[in-house]
This record gives sequence, C-alpha cells and structure tokens, in this order.
Amino acid sequence: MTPRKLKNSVMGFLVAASAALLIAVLVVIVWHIFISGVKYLNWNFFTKAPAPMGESGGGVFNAIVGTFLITLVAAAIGTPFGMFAGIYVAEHRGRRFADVVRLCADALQGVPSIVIGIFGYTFLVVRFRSYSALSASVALAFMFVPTTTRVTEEVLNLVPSGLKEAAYALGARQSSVVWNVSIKTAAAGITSGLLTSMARIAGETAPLLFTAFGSRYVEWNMLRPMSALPLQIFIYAGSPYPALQQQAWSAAFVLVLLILLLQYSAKHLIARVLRVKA
Amino acid sequence: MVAQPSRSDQRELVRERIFTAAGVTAAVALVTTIVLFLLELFIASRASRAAFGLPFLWRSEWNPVTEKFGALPMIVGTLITGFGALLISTPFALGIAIFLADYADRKLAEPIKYLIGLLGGLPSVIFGLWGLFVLVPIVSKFEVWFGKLVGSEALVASGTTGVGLLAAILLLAIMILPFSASLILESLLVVPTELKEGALALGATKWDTIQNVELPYVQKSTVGALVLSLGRALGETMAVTMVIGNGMKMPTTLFDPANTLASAIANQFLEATSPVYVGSLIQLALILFVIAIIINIMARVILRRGVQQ
Amino acid sequence: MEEPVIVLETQKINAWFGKDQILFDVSARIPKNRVTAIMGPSGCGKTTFVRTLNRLHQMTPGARATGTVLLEGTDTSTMDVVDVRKHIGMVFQRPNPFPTMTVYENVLAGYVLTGQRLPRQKADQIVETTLRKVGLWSEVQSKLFKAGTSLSGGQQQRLCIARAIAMEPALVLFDEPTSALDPKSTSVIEELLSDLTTEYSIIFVTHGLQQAARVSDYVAFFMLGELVEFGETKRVFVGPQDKRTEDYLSGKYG
Repeated sequence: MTPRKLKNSVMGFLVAASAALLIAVLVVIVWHIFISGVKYLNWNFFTKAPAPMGESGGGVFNAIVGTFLITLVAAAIGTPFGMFAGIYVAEHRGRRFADVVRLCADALQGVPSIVIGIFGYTFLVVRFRSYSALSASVALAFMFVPTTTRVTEEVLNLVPSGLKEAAYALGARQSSVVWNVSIKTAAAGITSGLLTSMARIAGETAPLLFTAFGSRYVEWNMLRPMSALPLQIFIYAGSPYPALQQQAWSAAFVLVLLILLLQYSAKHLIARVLRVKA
Repeated sequence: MVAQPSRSDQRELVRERIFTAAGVTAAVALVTTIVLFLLELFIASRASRAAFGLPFLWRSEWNPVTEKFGALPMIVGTLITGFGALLISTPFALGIAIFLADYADRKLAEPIKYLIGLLGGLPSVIFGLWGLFVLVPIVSKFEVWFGKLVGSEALVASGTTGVGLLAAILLLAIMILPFSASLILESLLVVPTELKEGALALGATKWDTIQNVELPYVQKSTVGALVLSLGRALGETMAVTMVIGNGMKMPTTLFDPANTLASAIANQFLEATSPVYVGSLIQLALILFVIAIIINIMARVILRRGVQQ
Repeated sequence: MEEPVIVLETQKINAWFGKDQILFDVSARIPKNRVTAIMGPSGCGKTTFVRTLNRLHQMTPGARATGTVLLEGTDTSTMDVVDVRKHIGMVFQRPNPFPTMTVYENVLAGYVLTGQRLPRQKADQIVETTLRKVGLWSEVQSKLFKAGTSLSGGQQQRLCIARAIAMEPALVLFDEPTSALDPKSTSVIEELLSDLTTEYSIIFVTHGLQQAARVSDYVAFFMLGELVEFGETKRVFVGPQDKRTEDYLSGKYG
C-alpha cells in the first residue's frame, strides 16, 4: 500500500471515529438523563409543589407552570417585535437602515444569556423593586426577537416575486401584499421558526436567575417571583440533599421532553396543519 | 375616473400607516436595544468603576471580604476555557463534518445530523447537571491519578474536588462541538461537486481531495465558524458555572477552581450585597458584552471576506 | 375610416432601468373594446412598456419612467397608484394564483387585497359570472374550495384572467400569457379574447407573429424601445409602412 493510500485509510478511520465519539457522548448523556430521571417520575412529581425543607415527596409543578407561563409570555412579547422587524428588513432590502437593523439583530443574538439576565435585573427588577416572572419574560423576549427576525426575513424572501406582483397589480397596498400574500404564504416557515425559538428559550436559565428568581410555591401571578424548570434544576443540582438532586434529574428529563415536543411540532405538525387547510 | 377615496380605501390607508409604523417601530427598537444595553450596564456598574477605574481590567485580586475587585482572574478563566474548548473540539468538529459531507451515505447521515441537532439543543443547565454528577467525578479521578503520577501534592489537592478549569474545558468542548460541526458541514456541502470529481479523475484519493480541494475551499468560512463557536463558548454560563468551582483567585493550574466572567456573575450575584461588589459583577457583564460584540464583528468580517472569494 | 374610441393614450413614454434607457418616446392610442397586440423581437421593450401603464415598472429599484398616461381621458399621474391598478388589470407570463387561497378566493382576491368586503351573495355572483366569462365555470364548479394551485396550468391562467376581470377594469394587460402553456391551453385562451372584448379592452403582449395575427384587431410593433408602427392588424400585416416592420414580418429578426 502506498503512503498516500495508507494516509487515506487512516484519515477515513479517524473521521469516522470522531463521528462515533460524538454519538457516544450524546448517547451517554441522554441515557443518563433517562435512567436517572425516570426514577422519580411519579404523579406527585408532576402535580405537587416542592415539599417543605427536609420532607420527602413533593414535585415540580411550580416549575412546570412557571416554564409554561414565562415562555409563552416571552413569545407573546417577542413575536410581534420580531416579525415586524423581519418584515421591515425584508421589504426594505438593500437600504442602509435595514442592514443596520439586521446587524443589530445579529449582535443581540450573540449577547451572552447572563448579560441579558443582568440587564433584566437592572432595567426591570431594580426599577420595580421586585423579582417577577414578567421581567424574566421580557429578558427572554430579548433572546426570542433576533431569531424570529431572521427567520421571518429569510422566509419572506423565499416568497416568489410573481405572487407579490400579482397582488400589487390588483391594487393592493404594501401592507396588504405583505400580510395577505407574503406572510400567509410563508406562514408555515414562520410558525416553525417561532416554535424553535420557544424551544430554545424554554431551556434558558441565566436570564431567569435574577429576574424570576424562583419560588417554592405554585405561582400564577406574573408580577411575582416564579420558578421554572431550568431554574429548579440549577437549584436542586447545587443542593446537598440527594433527594433533591434526584429531582434535578427528573426535572431535566421533563425539560428535555418539552423541548423535543416543541422541536417536533416545529418540524412536522406545522407543515401538516397548514397543508390540510389548503 | 376621478379618484374619490371610498370607505374601504380609507380603511386601507389607515391600515397601511399602522403597518408601516409597526415595522419602523420594531426596527428602531432593535437598534436601540443594543445601545440601551450598553448604557444600562455602564450606569449600573458605576460604584465599581468609581472605585477601581480602568485598572479593574487587569487587577488580579477578587476579594469579596476586603471588597477589592479586579477582572483579570475571570478574564483569564474565560480565555482559557474558551480557547481550550475550541482547541479540543475543533479536530472532532472537522472530523464529523468531513465524515458527514464525504463519507456517510444519506441513510447514515440524516440520523447523525438529527443527533447533532439534539445535542446542540440541550439546555446548558442540563449539560451542567451531567457535568457535575458524571463528568466531574471522572475528572477528579484523573486529576488525582495525574497528580500522584507527577508527584505533586498541590495538584492532588486541587484535583480531589474535580471542579475547575479542566472540567469546564471538557464540558464546554462537548457543548460547542455540535455547533461548530454543523457550521463546518454547511460550508463543506457548498463545495461544487465538479471540483471534487475533477480531482478524483486525476487519480487523487478521497482524502487527497478533501485535503487539497475541499478544505482550502472552505478555509475562510471554517475560520468564521470557529470564531462563532469561540463566541458561543465565551458566553456559556450555566454549564460552566456548575463545574468550574467558583474560584476567587487567579488559577495557576488547570486543576484549580476558577471563574469565567459569566460564571462569576452566576455564582455570586445573588449573594453580593455592597454596591461595589454588585457594581463589579455588573462590570464583568459589561466586559463580557463588549467581548461578545467584538467577536461577532470579527466573525462577520471573516465570513464576508470568505464570501467575496 | 372611423376613428376608434380610445381607452388609453400614452404620450412620449420614456423608461429606464438605472442608466439603461429601455423605451424612447412611446406614444400610442389604444382602442376601446379591442385587442391590441404588442409584438416585436426579444428585448424590444414590450413588457417594460406594458408595466409602465400600471406602474409596476416603477416598483423595481432603480427603475424610472417619464411621460403621460391618459386612462379614459384622465392623467394617471394624478391618480393614486392603487386606483390606477383597480382600473387596469394584469395577467402575467407565468400563472400565479395565490397558493394560500381557494379557487373561489382567488377570483375575489382583488377585493380582499384592497379591503373591500362583499356580502356573500354578491361574492358568489361575481365568482360564478367571472368564471363563466373565462369558460372555467363548468370545469371548476366542483373544485371551488380547493387550492387555486390545484388546477392545471391552463386552468390556472384562466383563473388569473378571472381574478383580473372580477375587478371590472377598463383595460386588461396580458403579458405573454400563453408562453408557459401547452398549445391546447393556448388556443383556449386565445379564443376567449374576442368574447372578453365585449366588456373590456385588451393589450396583449406576444412573442410570436402568428399569435399576434390570430388574436388582435390592432397591432403595435416595437423595436429597440421604439414604437415603430401601429395600426389595424390586417393593414399592418398585409402592407407594413415601415421597412423595419416589413423585415420583422418576413422573419429577418426572428
């Protein structure tokens, strides 16, 4: 075998080995979450709030509620901003300000989550003198908007120009063309992007540390401190009680399931639903 | 034919105005946000800036008790973990990307790509959980063994807990691997088939083609991808926080507990009481913010030059 | 010979894409309730001319046009562009029904997109009448609530014609509407045109000489951005007055 052929085989092997390593690491991590998490998945876990200190039992219902509320409100705040910014950038393509907007969206996307959390703290928590789920949602909205803007812009640019021209030729104004033709045609892609962004912010912890702060009680009021799954995992992981550490694994399991569900919906359900309507 | 605006047309005009205003508002809000962040962080850190001034950036003492703070240990921690993670993960990221682009057939590549997406989508705190309870004990065993091997009491001592720079670097490497792998894969997939076939037709082996045709083709975008991955690593918070040990002193070895800019904030903010302490932590956030923006700009410049090729 | 009633008149239309001038002083008088074909070799400015009439041309970044367009006597530059387009309809080269709308909704798209709400009965009536006018009613009656894109290519194009005439425009612009269609669909649409002229005026941009001869009452011959000759089709084809027209008709430019 010539040296070149030897090199070819060796490199081929190394390359396959890296892929195998990646899979191995993933399997190990997911396996561990599954094995450890499943141990404490009982009815109590899903429906009860944390037990008082030192007592056993209790669950993460407070965190589940919190994740739902905080994520949904963050998406509700971020979607209009993100979509309209995306529409603006798509409709004003080539103009300098649109480029600036795109740049700022990219920059915002690169801001570390802990910085967003600190901003949420100084901007909202300090100002209103209390930790609140709402300030967490606003902080998460800052992370939700850039990805929404980018997805909206990309999907709108894919709408065939022939469709837009036909609409203009019928006498439609720009807002009508964008809303009735572009957005509707791109609806599947945009919704998918929204769900994917939601999956991402549902798993964030740092922005919640100093805004939502966490709570032992099931809380429905957005103006009060609230727990959330990632936050609860962090707190339990750092606690000295093995029972709570166990709950951290189970909460992690639940969180992963939630994220997988959102990602699955983003990929499959949306396309199916929107195709059925047509 | 004289144009009298009908009722419906008047409605349309109003809708048009509102729509346009919404677009402009959202666009302006986005731009203002960046400025707002900078301002807010700057103002909120004033107690610390007043106390230490610019030397805060290179002061190496971080002592909550004496209230003397300096960012250097965190900056060092950030750079070591970031570059360390990049160093370790890059060969593997390249390997995986090349494997998926050139070796795997579709039936194998699709599931692997899905798994990569899955790993990349795992929340940081879950990596931290796994890191704390699975990786750290392993690292600890290694560190104690290594310390004994080289006969260093100090190393054995700092290695017993397992938390520290080494654990953080390894965990971070695993976390940025899916990200850099998929970016590099994307750019490899753009390499025109004709180029590859041309090389193979000349008698080159598969690896020859990869090394001499594909990799040079994606050089610029790969560097861009790596810069972006570095940015990711530098901003990573939760996982690092949970395994880096919240060290206050400047780390001397990889086994020492340490802090990155992000982990220091996450670990200490809720316990910080005095304005100087809080202000110093916020200054760390400001430094982190600026670093992130700079990396973002660098990546764009590199990628734009790559596209122009 | 009687002077025909004019539905649209252009006076010295000039048009540019950036620095390139496409149209040079085009002045034409389009007769009412007739089919006026616009023919000429590729790149002669036919499509650009037609797009200046409903101001689509000006929407492209860097595009510009000067000159006057009089629609039934009114200067269109004094009108809101939205009104201009309500009175001038357009059918495009590639059929482009809206994929997110049903056949029914596509016919009424002009109303929906301009915010005009129609009572259900009136809407039903417009849909049926318009689809009958384009000969689609019997074919799609059972498919009214399927997606507009579920029809065949020829049917889609007729749907687009219906969509345009549902707005009752004075003038309809057809921009090479059959070039993406098979011969059978092409002849179906060509046969429609004379029926449509009882109510509408038509400008029909065509790539082919034979099509121009088949469908039109009047013909405008463009070359290199100039309106070279205009007149009744029979007269122009039998006895062209300009040498360039003669050359084009005899196949010199292809």
